[in-house]
Amino acid sequence: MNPDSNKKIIQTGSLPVGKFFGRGEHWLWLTGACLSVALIMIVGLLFVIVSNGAGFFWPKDLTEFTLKDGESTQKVMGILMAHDTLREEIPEGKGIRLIPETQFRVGNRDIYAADFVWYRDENISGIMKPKLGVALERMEYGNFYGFMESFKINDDVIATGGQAWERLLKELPLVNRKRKAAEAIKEHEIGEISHEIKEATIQLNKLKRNTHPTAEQVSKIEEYNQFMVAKNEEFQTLKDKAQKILDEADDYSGVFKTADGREKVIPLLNIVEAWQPNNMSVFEKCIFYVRQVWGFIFDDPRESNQEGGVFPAIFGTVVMTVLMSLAVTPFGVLAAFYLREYASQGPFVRAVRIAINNLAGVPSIVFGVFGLGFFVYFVGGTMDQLFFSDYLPTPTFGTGGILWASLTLALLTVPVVIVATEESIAAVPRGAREGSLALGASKFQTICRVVLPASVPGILTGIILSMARGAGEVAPLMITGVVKLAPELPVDLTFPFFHLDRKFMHLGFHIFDVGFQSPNVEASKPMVYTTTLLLILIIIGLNIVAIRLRDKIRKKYQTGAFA
Amino acid sequence: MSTIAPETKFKKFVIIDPKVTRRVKIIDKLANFIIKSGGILVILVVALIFLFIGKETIPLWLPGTAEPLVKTEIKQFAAPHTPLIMGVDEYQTFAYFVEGESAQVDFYDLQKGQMINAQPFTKLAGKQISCAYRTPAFDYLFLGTSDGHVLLAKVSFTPDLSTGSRIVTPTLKEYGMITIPGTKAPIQKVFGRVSSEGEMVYAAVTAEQKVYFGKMTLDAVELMEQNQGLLEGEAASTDRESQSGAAPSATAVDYAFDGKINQIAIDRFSEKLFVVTDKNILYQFYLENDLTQPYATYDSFVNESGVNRKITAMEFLIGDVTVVFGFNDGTTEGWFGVRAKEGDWMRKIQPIHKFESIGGSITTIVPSARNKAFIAGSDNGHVALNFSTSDRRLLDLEISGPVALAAYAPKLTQILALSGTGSFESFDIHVPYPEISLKTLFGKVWYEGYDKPEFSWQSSGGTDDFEPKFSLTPLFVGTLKGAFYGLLFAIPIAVFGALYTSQFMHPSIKTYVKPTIEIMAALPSVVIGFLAGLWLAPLLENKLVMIFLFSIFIPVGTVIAALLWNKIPIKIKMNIPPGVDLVAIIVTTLIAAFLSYKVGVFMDFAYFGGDIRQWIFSAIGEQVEQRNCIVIGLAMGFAVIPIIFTISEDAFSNVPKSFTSASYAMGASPWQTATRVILPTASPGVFSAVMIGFGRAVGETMIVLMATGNTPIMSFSPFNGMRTLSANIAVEIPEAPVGETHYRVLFVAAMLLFILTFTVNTFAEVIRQRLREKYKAV
Repeated sequence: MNPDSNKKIIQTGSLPVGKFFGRGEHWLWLTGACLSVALIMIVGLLFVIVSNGAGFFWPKDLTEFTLKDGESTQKVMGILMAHDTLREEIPEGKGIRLIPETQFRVGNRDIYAADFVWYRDENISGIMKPKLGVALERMEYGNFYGFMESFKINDDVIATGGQAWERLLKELPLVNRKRKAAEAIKEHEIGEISHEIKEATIQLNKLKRNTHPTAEQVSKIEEYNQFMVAKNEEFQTLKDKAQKILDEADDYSGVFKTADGREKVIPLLNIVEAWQPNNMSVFEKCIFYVRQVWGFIFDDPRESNQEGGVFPAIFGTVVMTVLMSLAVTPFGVLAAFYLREYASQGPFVRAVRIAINNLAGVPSIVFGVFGLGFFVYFVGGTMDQLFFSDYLPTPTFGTGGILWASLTLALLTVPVVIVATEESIAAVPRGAREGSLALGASKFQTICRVVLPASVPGILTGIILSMARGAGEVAPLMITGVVKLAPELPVDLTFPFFHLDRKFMHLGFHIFDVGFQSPNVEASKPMVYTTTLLLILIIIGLNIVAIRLRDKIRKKYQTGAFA
Repeated sequence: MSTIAPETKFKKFVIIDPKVTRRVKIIDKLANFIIKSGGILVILVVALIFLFIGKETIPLWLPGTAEPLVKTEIKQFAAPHTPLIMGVDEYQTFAYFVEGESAQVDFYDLQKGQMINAQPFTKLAGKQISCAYRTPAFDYLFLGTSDGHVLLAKVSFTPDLSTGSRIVTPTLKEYGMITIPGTKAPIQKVFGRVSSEGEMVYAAVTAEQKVYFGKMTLDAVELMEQNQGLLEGEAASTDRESQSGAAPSATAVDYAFDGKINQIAIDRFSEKLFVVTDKNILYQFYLENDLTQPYATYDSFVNESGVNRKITAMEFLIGDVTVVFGFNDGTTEGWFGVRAKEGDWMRKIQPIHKFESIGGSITTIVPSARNKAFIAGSDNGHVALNFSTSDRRLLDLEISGPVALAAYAPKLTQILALSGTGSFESFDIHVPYPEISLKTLFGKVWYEGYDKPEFSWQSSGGTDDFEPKFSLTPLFVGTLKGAFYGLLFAIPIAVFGALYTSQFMHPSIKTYVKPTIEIMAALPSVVIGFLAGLWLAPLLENKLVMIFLFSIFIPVGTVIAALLWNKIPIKIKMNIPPGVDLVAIIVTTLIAAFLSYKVGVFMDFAYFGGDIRQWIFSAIGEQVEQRNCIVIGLAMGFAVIPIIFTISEDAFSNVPKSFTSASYAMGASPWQTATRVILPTASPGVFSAVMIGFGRAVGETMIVLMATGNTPIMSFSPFNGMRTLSANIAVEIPEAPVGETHYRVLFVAAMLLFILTFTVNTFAEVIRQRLREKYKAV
């Protein structure tokens, strides 16, 4: 090659095309493109979730328009959701034409059949945003969109027009409070009593099974009978009390009109939230948004999980994860210390280490199968026969529950803790350990006072990573105790407070269930996106903490080793 | 070297409180014990998982067992007084026998071992039973009389638990007599079916070798009896009945059979009729199609040694699809109809399931009322229990004397047999998983109603006579298919991405890229699956062209961009901060993606008529499903990329610096160094990364559950979905009854997954550790 060209390359920094390909410079960029695809995928995924999930609670404007439907026209009001193009075949094989269409959430599921509807843009005209358009979040039938006509107490019209709206906003919180009070009575007090009645019935049945009861038993039966009567009375009183509260609240109702002029009387008891999106300032919208998010996090689900909040799912996920880490930490740490400090390093320990590493690669569903067969049917079934035989054939521990699910996940995540702990033990400088031993400390003292404190951050990293893994795992839970709707939380105020036999709800399963097993997939999508957002926020948060922690330790010991 | 331990040296100088030392020592020992046992416990648990899952599958492979229970002589049943029918109740307290000459039912107490009573058929007073048939379920009896009638009766057993122990009372119910027109002679052969809805079907052969059949409800049979009472002495006329609109009680098959009929069978819809004559001709009728001509006749039943066997027994298995023939050489065969071509509803039957000879000549075949098992008895005293689907011989028992009658207890817990010499024997049998064999789990099985042997998974059906299909092969294929398409996408992205990150990327950018990939690894698969199923699948539904263009536009675009970048003068290049080139690459990728979208839409209309799915369907006849392998590949790839990326990046970074320095010093370009030095050195690590990624893809559950249609099909086409082992377990195990076949088969699936992933991962791990050892020293 002539030296001039080389000189030129050095001066300009650019290679001639032949040399460029010869040296494989283009491959550098091609490998970069591979990385960029991976990066785009992850960012794109997060973007899709955030953009779909975060906007759900923002009070979007109501759009009213005239819809041409054949000859007739009709007013429709709803929230604009999406645009798309429809492909329609032109008759006689003249190809295909594209028809732009728009999706609206028109709500009013009790009046129209579907609440998410696609309309062809060519049929839409006269788009406007009515200031007084009302959106209602209801207990049943999803949202209502329309206009407020009047406010009624017992069939008497109290206020109309703007005043009616004012009155509605004033009364709604009161009614909601009453509904919550009634629900609280039903849930806690009545629940407790029915639990007591159930227990008493079981005891009673047990006593009655004796064909020749002793005098003591007879008196006990009598005692139980009286107890039952008293409890049943109490049950009735509470029920009446709750009903009375509801009856009082039931007097209030609002009269509404849909965009196409149909009148609808909606009792305030059925309304969760009322707002006029087109009439709200940005600040009001922000407050509304925060309130909605709050409700999403702290409310119970409604309408087969498609609406309302996800509190039981969050709660279930947290309790399950905590139980899991309680189970996994001691064993994981013990195993790691054994492998690193006690076992004599040889082919056996190498094999064990490989096995543990590989356990992390065993499919989670296999752990689920093990959990179902071993914990639920074998251990749980045996426990039922030994301690809960009174309740049989209804299983207590012999069916999926939060305890079994947590233990299954603990098995699944034990390699994570072992590997992280081992790594952090290994990072403790030899010098520190030898110093301690040289000063006469025993092995255990060295471990307790030197190695363990130094490796705590590493252990924590392992636990956090295992929690993140556990919180996101669904498949093994599906078969060991997760349900779509758990009537009771696994931890509550009823004795013995921790109900480890109960089934529970889980955010990950909630996503699967609402997204794939609900009757109205379209209507449940926003809910799924929002739940997904919540779940990945939790998981990414946990991971970031773990990564930070790990980096910190690494830095610390990188310098510490030479100190 | 000194042999004195260091601590003994110190003891001389340091004063230590002996109490403290003792306490410390005790604690140390205790801790030693706890940590060691805890550690070993955890390791044992790992083994326990494997052992437990394995243990649950073991019962599937155990052979059936039989315990002799009763063995006695019932003198009165010795030939020629052999009863026509034998049956047993579900509590196994009574066996009952129908005697022909005396027209009565004898009840035999199995516990006490004696006859307790005999009940005559009141409607058959003064007549004899010439032939009889018992339905496999519910003990309905079809009795042909000596004067040309068929009596429908039922033996039932009512348990009474009120006294604490169970007392079973047998009762005999006679429904009514059906008059077979045009004959007063004894009925030769009778066959019948009663459905659970109370619909009765029968077929009878008269002494004149004519076949009659009828179909009516049980109520109608009872009512007919009353009418008959009114028409005493007058033969019921089928004409009159058909005039009055009711179904005729007896319809003739208007065909002259060649020889004397000795076997007959009709299905429960009175659709299929099989007749065998003593000239060894088998006639197959489709009664709804033609009452006068058989649809097919068969006269060749050649066995392996070329001998034409004689049919000596014939029965339908539960479901009335498979006909089992017993031959005079002791063999039995299950036959069913197979379509000659698609769309045929009439099918010629052919031998599908063949069972080895038990010697002698088959005298009786008794089907199970619960599954596809049947008993075959031979005149040399052998009683075999065979299972049709799995071709398994479950048991081979022997009694003294030629087998005349056999019976199957309704819950399949006992087999009873009566010999021609009056020897009566019963066996407690235990064959819990008859439908499972290696062949049914992994091989092709010819299921009822199928045109050829197939791999099929269909674990449950709506009806009792459903034949469960437990082939794990389609699930296994589905698993591999999902993993294949996932890896197809993930390997280049992850391996090259890792190569770029480890070799060509500025370290300051690396600190951002690696945690991002770690976040990618942490994303729950339920999230990926949800997005793939509900967002990506509908989005890509019509954009197959775009996907295809991606794979062309992105590389081409990148090369063009690289050439342009090359042209930037060095003075400017030197001032560009690190990471801008990566940004440029990302922007290029995005532009290329956008272009392929635009061009894709254009091409879709220009060349594929606006509907690529329709175009593919008409071009290669493949239906493009919405949730296809492209979606799975992308989603699965998403899950696998971070794993492969991290491990390969590790492998690339661990290549000793001296190797690369040497390469650069020799004047190699970065890419030359990467391909000729880094890649070969790190290739075992990359290989193990791919293996571990494969392991993850194989076990992935939620993604495939949500992003595929979950249909268990045997196809590698990228345009349809699949069902994987893992998704199958997740879907079906909550509904599978504990301890039963389905449950245990799912455990087999779990064990397969375990073994597969564990082997692959161990292999990969060993390779990785070797590699690490190798370059540690360098």
